[in-house]
Amino acid sequence: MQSFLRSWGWVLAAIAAVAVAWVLPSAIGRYYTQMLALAGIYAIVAQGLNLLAGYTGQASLGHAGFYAIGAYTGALLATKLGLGFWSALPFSILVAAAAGVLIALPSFKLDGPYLAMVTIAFGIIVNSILIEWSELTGGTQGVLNIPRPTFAGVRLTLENQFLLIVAAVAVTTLFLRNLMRSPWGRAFVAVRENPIAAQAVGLSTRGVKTMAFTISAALAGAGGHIFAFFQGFISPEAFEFEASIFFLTTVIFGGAGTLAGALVGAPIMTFLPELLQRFVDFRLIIYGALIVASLYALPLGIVGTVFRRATYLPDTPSQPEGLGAAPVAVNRPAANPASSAAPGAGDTIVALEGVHMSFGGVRALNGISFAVERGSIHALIGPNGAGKTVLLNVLTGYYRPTEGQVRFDGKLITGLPSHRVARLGVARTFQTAQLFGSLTVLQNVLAGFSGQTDGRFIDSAFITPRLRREEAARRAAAIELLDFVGFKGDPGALANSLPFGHQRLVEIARALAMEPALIAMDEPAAGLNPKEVQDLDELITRISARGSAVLLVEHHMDLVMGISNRITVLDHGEKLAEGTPAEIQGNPKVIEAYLGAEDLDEAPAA
Amino acid sequence: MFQLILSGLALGCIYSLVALGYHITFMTSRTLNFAQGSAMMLGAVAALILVVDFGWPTPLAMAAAILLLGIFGLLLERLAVRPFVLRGSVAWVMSTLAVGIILENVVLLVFGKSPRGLPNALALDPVTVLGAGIYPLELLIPVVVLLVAVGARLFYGSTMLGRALRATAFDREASLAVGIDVNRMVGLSYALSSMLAAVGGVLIGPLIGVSSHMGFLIGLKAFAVAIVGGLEHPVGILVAALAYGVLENLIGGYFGSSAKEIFGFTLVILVLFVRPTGLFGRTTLRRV
Repeated sequence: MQSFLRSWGWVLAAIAAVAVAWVLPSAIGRYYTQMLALAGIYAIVAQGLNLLAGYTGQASLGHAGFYAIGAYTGALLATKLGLGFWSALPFSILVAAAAGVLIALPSFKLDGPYLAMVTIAFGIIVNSILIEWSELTGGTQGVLNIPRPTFAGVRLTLENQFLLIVAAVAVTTLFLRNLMRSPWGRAFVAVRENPIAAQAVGLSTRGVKTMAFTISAALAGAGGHIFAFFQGFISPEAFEFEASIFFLTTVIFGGAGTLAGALVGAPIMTFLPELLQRFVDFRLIIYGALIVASLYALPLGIVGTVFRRATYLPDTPSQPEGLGAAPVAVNRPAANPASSAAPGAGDTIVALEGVHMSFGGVRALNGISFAVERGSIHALIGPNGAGKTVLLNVLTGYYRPTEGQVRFDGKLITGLPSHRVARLGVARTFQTAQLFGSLTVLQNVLAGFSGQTDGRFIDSAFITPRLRREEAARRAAAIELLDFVGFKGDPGALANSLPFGHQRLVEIARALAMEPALIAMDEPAAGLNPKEVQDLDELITRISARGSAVLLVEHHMDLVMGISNRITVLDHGEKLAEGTPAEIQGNPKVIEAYLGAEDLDEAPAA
Repeated sequence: MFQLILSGLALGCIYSLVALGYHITFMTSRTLNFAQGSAMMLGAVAALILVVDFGWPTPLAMAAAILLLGIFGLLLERLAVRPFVLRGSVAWVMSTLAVGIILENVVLLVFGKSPRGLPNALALDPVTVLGAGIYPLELLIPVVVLLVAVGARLFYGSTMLGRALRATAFDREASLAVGIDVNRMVGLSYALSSMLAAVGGVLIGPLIGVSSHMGFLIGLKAFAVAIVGGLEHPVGILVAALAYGVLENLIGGYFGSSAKEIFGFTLVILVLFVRPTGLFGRTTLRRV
């Protein structure tokens, strides 16, 4: 029953809503029908903004701009070119979506107030253009006499328009629900939760944000289009900065990052000013006060407060019985050809050639060259500040080296952005585990499978059988990986609730999901107890046996000397020595610079 | 042309005052007061009431209005910013915006829609400077900004309080560790920020008239110049503000007032596209 509700609950709710919308107008009268219809339009825009601000974490203070673009595109196509509601709709959506792409361009590298500024500026520019370009837009007068929507040639009554709007809200919500249950949903939340980790699993934060902006703008455009035809007239006044604030407030008040938030927020925000109608003069004052009060009382929004969860990413749909019982290969074939070659073949998987890296005047790396053999365990050691982490960052594309080249599987990858490096088959774990905090353990690992969003947008929007099969295969593989790394906790637990050691394991499982040819680990043993270090030792050996080379940055000498095939020693950004553990232990330069006599005694003879 | 540049400079100075207010609170607490424009308006309104209804002499009324706004800043931080920051929430964006909405509508209710003149002896008869007719007040504004800048330098450089503020801006944790009351510093930064806005308000009031909506667009543009100059770079903000004021006045003079918003804000987006942390912001390397 519960799983049935989980799969079909929203669909049933959508059908029920449309059914209620069929009979409701006669019960509540014209005025309230009109108000509810408006609330429905706002809900569509708010759902779109929810995807952007709630799920993807990119607050827009200029959404009225996209809303206006949709409204004016529809209105002008209808009044100037004689297009109808339906024939103009795709254009309104497309033009708004195109504006979304355009705004995403400068926004992808911006954060916080800087992003807010771009969206504010966009909203104001659009509004000013509406006023200024009066030959086209009618200036402050706006566009009048927009024909009412028709259906099959018949002009729709208010009741039917209401029905249409409720259906549109239902479709929008189901679309968003499907999207959030798909690999795309994980990508959106991943970018919000931890952009660095998102890059590390091969997600382009830029691409994901652009997608969120585009869908969000398209939905705002659709809302604007419906608004124009529903009202019959539009003017710039409806699309000012206040409207952008209204939409954002609706999302936050209802519950950002929840599917029902916008649906709850929109009617309340629409009817609230009406309830205050008799205090005409005080209306906006009370309105402002209510915003402040609700921010105090309902920090997670109404829906978030009721369900005690700030943002909630629904689980991926379970596999329907009898469908695709045979496990589908996840991404083993051809995805990362580099990893499929036999381990220990003796050839190089990654090579650094004369890499220099300086920050301002500080030289962090000074002409480093070394190579990691396919399938080997290669340790990188050196005192603190030797440049080990900087080297990992250069290798994985987070930093662009000042000089020198990086080769992966024979190809030059110098300066390639980190998500592209990751997609080639270079996985990465961090000094402090970088997980997607509000995703579950299982979802974290699922996010690791590479290329899962490629060409799967339509599949995601409809949760097609193909997508279900792929997801089922990924789930099985993810659970296997959690088992492989020795994670014994609850795969349904939120990642940010995990103890430290478990976070490490989940991060490693996620990295392995990428089927990497090389996995770069930055001090995986730091902070672990002796038993855990023992387990890690064994795990790294098994990872290497699985075919992934391991580049290990570590201070724990027992671990390093015990499992490494080769060791490179860094000191002050220079390569001090390289060799087998035995050679390194016997190297006087290393002993002097780093190991010291005491440490050497402790290290087991290799 | 020369006239447009001169009055543009005066306008730019007002932007810089309000914009430095964003800078101050951002430095100490990484938060911004999105009611800065309303604070500016409130400063002008307070001065107007004191001059017109209470008959106070203008300089005294201006000083009192600025002090009152200092109290406003303290209250705002305590009530609409701190509770959310303590929760780790960004709801202060919405709450300060909402405070702005409330303020504007309270003033609208009390004051009515039409702008009122804030009497000022320096804004009665224009003087001629190099062939351009200009109010003496417009010439005074840059002088005031200069004084504020010098004052700020002295305050930050040579007083204990100023140093404590700077320390808070530099490193919150370390400041706590050496016994600086960080919360008080943040409150103080909000007071200073609102006072700067009020200085802008009492200076521009006589020129553009006092009304409930006078601060909205100025607050927004001040935010734009603060972003373009780089929120952490006061000098960058000053340069950006003056440039914006002049450029805007020139474009407005030749192409009309909607055109100047379109040009201005498009420019802001373009600048951020090229320099994501503002013209003078350093491109900081992400720590991984």
